[in-house]
Amino acid sequence: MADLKLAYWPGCVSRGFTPELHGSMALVADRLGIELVELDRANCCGAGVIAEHNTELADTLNARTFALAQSTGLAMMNICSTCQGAQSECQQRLDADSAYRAHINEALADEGLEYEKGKEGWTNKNFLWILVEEYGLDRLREQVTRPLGELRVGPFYGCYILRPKHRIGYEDHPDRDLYLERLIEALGATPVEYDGARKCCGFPVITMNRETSLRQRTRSTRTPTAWSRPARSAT
Amino acid sequence: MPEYTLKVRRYQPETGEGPYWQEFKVELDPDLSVLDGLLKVRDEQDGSLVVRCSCRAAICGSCGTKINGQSTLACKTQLGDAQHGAGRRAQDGTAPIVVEPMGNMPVVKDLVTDMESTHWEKIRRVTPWLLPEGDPPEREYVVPPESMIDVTQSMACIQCGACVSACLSMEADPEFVGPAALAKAYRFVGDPRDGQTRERLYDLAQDPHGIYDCTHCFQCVDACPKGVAPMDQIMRLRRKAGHDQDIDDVNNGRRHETAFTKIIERKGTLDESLLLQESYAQGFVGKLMPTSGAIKGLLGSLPTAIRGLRTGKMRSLPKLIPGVHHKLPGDAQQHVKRAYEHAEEHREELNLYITGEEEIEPEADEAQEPLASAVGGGRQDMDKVTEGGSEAAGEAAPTPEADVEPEPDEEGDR
Amino acid sequence: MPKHDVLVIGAGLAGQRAALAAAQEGVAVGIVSKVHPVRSHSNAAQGGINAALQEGDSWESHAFDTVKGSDYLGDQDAIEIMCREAPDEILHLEHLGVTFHRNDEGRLGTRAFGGASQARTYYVADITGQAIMHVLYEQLMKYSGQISRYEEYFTTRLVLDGDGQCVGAVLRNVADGAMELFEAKNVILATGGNGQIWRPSTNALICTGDGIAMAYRAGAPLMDMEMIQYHPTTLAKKGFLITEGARGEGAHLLNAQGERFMERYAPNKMELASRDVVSRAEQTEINEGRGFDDGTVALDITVVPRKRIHEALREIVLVGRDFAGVDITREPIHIKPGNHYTMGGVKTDVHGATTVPGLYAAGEVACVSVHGGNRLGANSLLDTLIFGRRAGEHAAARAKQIDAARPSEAALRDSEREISELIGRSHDGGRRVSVLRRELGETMDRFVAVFRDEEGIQTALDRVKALQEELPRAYIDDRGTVFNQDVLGALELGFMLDQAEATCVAALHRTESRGAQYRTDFPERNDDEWLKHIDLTPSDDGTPEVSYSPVTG
Ligand SMILES: Cc1cc2nc3c(=O)[nH]c(=O)nc-3n(C[C@H](O)[C@H](O)[C@H](O)COP(=O)(O)OP(=O)(O)OC[C@H]3O[C@@H](n4cnc5c(N)ncnc54)[C@H](O)[C@@H]3O)c2cc1C
Ligand code: SF4
Ligand code: SF4
Ligand code: FES
Repeated sequence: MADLKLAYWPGCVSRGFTPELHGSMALVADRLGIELVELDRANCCGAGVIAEHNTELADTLNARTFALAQSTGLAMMNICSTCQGAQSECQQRLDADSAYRAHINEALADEGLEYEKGKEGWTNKNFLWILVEEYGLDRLREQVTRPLGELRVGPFYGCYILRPKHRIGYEDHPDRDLYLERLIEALGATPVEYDGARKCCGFPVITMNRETSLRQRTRSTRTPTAWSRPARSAT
Repeated sequence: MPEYTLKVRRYQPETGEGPYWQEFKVELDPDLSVLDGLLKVRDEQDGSLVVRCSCRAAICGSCGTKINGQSTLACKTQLGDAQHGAGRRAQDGTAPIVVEPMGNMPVVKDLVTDMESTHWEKIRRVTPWLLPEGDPPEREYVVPPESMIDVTQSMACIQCGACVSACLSMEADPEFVGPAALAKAYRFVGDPRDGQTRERLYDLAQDPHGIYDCTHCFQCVDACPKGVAPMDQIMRLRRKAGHDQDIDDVNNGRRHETAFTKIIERKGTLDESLLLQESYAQGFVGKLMPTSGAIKGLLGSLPTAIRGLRTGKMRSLPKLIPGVHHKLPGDAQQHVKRAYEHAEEHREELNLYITGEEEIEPEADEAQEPLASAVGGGRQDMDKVTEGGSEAAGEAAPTPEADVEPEPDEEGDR
Repeated sequence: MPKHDVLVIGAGLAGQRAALAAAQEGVAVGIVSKVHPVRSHSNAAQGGINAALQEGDSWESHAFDTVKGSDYLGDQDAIEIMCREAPDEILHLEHLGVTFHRNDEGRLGTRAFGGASQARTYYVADITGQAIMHVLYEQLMKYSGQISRYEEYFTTRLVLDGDGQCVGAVLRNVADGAMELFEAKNVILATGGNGQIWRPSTNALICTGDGIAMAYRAGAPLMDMEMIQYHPTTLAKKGFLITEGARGEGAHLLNAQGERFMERYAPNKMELASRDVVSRAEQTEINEGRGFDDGTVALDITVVPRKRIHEALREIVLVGRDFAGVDITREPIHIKPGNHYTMGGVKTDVHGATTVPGLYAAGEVACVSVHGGNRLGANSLLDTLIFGRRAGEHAAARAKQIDAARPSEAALRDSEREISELIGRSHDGGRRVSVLRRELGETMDRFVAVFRDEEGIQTALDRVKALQEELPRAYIDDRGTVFNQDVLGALELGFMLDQAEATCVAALHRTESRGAQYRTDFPERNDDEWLKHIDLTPSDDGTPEVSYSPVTG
């Protein structure tokens, strides 16, 4: 019952350092009957780094990905916190000004692509949001065959999917910063509260200030509150 | 009138005791602020409860606090909203509103923190005054009107410290110059009247705790009550330093950014192994000689990569070898290149603070006009491409889809 | 003991400008503020600052509007100075880095304001006061070699020597409660207005008029104390201000029936008539039952183009959203007249000098008088800067001519004793200080507001006197030294009560209607008898003694 069919942008990282991201999602999506059309021509979201270099370039690259998704007639899904944030940032600019949008679309014309603002039925959501908002936790709960009873899981969100709130849809979906906890519960496990759940992993400065970066990593995972038994972090 | 419970983190230095929690109950309208609640406590229950405050209207920047863990202004947070925020995570929805002093700063008493050593010292670090070249003109400096709006975004900063309180880099590195001070720095770098643009940027790029010590966590953007978006200003500083002024920084930030951007140009998606190598030492593949810092950095990161391999995080050794990576199919990569050419040629920087955001709904003064005439001219033709890629006829009115509303007239917006 | 040639008390626009001007003259300057300088209330000024700088405008026209707006109670020599010097001051600020709004050619652009015959208000979006003050603070940081900053130091009293010269002040370091005597050849008061005497008020909690009371206690006369401005557009509940800039940009005032009622009161100037006129019109509508149930009328900003709102009125979009739950770009917002500004204050000459040698005053604390019976919008920031600068220069010049005087420690001992008595006071004898403060505010807002009459003012005066008597028994909770805000609150209330008394006495005494003083029992302006200022000095029994000074032409 493939009632959810989505254009899927896997992101760069799932093809590199974290292949498990794609792998696990694919298994789950398959079980839940979510059909994915991979956007294999699409490009990197820029991860905020390209925007640091040239915002127009970041906007153009993501407009291209959006346009590729829109040409499938399907809504779009990503599986990476950073993709969500970086793409939403560009989308905000693209949607803010029609002249700018037209200017960006010029660069896509050769490929026969165009990003359309507010195209009916088109959204760009992370897999987590899809699970909660489109698929539904109740339905998900029904699919559970072996509840994760004993497992205590510490959620870790990643900055880009949490902030800034006004840009990534918290007005319409104010509880997006609680979805992981709810998901963990729906699967029968127990979410662990700890200070670092919504902090930074430190990655963006790993090449610039190792110490700052690693200290953030420790702070995010260290817990003054609740790790009494070993737990896993879920992204 | 609803009753609210304020759970306040208190500290009274003269008692010799450590910080403690105290709950107060106040009855007030939900649209009054948490500060109003605290002042009611102070006026009616306990005059020793201290919080800096003055304007009550998010103007003076006195009342920075953490409410339910979020750094903000107490006067700008309505009790009703704060209660909602507090109750959201509690099972029964009745948790108290938690009020704490700001983070990343020593506490002086109750909600009062020492901002001098943590905030103002850093503000002074960025040479916070205008340094024009030569004598001033007889009349005013003539400058582009947008430039003044642009720097007015940082000028809107009320020095409340909420961003500093929330900053995750600051938490890890207390020496980080920080969001408020860097936003202040942009106020001068972006000001066409200032004559020390390059020197300022050089200074902040050469400080290991400067513009390249920000971890891009957006905490400051969310915390700021005045829409200063400090992180955006930091990214502007990086763009100006790296691109406009060609400044290499001690943190390798620019190399990282350049390497990243180049890889995407060549490959369309990120090849991480290439990135690690390139961002530390472009010299290995490119023509530049690697700096000793770069070599150290690369060696330093090898353990991470090797651990990645060992724990199975990286699929295979080839992942460490540049070039073995996903390739975009067909001519896709050429089109990515085309996007690069176009964008690098124009480098247009859309500043939402200047342009504002386009409304989905029609403007009030256009609301009465019939749909067709409201969207008649202008640029709508470019926006209303019907699905499937076939162009709608030039001046034709859009299909009356429920959610496609006319664009407002934004001539002259940019 | 810290010593300065010029000690500036107050670090809003007037104080910072004074400090910079004095330092420019090469003397040693100290500047004191009970809150961090950038928290000063000048940052609330949204609308802008006036100057006749545009082509086709003239200082004479600016001066004429100001005199007329003052209802002829403004001193014309002072007004001339202010208006003549305004253009250079704006350019000076621009050169220091204020990000003033530009027109399409990149030159300074203006907006229209009430009571002005020309659009001559310069602005930075709607954060004008904040932008100017932060730029001045940048300069304070730049010149920290010449200017010592005492941030979060509360002044409790002025110190006079045997000859009646002002030679210093007593300060309390808020951070640790330590009391210190500051020696100074000159003291400049720049402590701002006293809106907190009324409740609600557009003024911040720190606006308690401390300097007005301190000067008065030191023997300097107060002037025009009855002239209290009620601003036409404040939010009903908390008293927050919606800038006059909104009307300057074209917003309408509507009563509950949707009528643009200003047509009946000021058919030519409409919403941009003087503040006293607009406030009275609104209050009349409300009193006669044409307002809304919450005792308000409506301000309709939706008639201003959205883009212009975004560009020029950003701050009040936030005020509407955050503090009234109203999107002002889409619907009218309910407003009413609210306490806003005190035209009166410490009487000074055009150099900011009071009658006490060595004591100066500038800004809202002072009364030069350039505002007379009614201050024009955007003239106050100008007042603070022009007379702040002049006071700084004059005080510096005086410092160069005189030897340092040695203030005696007696004043310090008095203040210390007063505070330790207050801290030690038992809770049985009276009510909480905060309760008295609230009662004062509500009384004044009820009886000494837009419309006044003898009976009401007398009632207020009686209550103020009763509160004065009660104050020595009123108690506080905090017995500590670190950041004891309770102590400061009690001292402020003492200051406020003295000023409330002065205002009541002056309002009662002026048996006519002029500017902001509207007596329903004397509704006419009476130039034959009342074209003069009321001066107040403390008599031996502490009550204000009335004398007059002429309006200078
Ligand atoms: C909401 C609002 C909007 C306004 N808009 C405008 C406008 O658009 N244009 C315009 O021209 N005017 C406007 N005004 C009026 C104008 O802002 C003020 O009159 C002016 O800023 C007063 O400046 P000041 O320097 O005299 O005092 P303030 O800025 O109030 O500064 C007073 C200083 O004195 C210090 N102080 C006070 N007591 C003590 C003490 N006991 N010990 C030590 N320090 C002390 C304070 O800490 C502070 O630093 C507005 C006023 C308000 C309330
Ligand atoms: S984005 Fe940068 S400056 Fe802002 S809070 Fe995060 S680390 Fe700090
Ligand atoms: S940038 Fe924003 S949060 Fe930071 S100090 Fe300024 S106003 Fe406060
Ligand atoms: S009290 Fe001024 S910002 Fe909150």
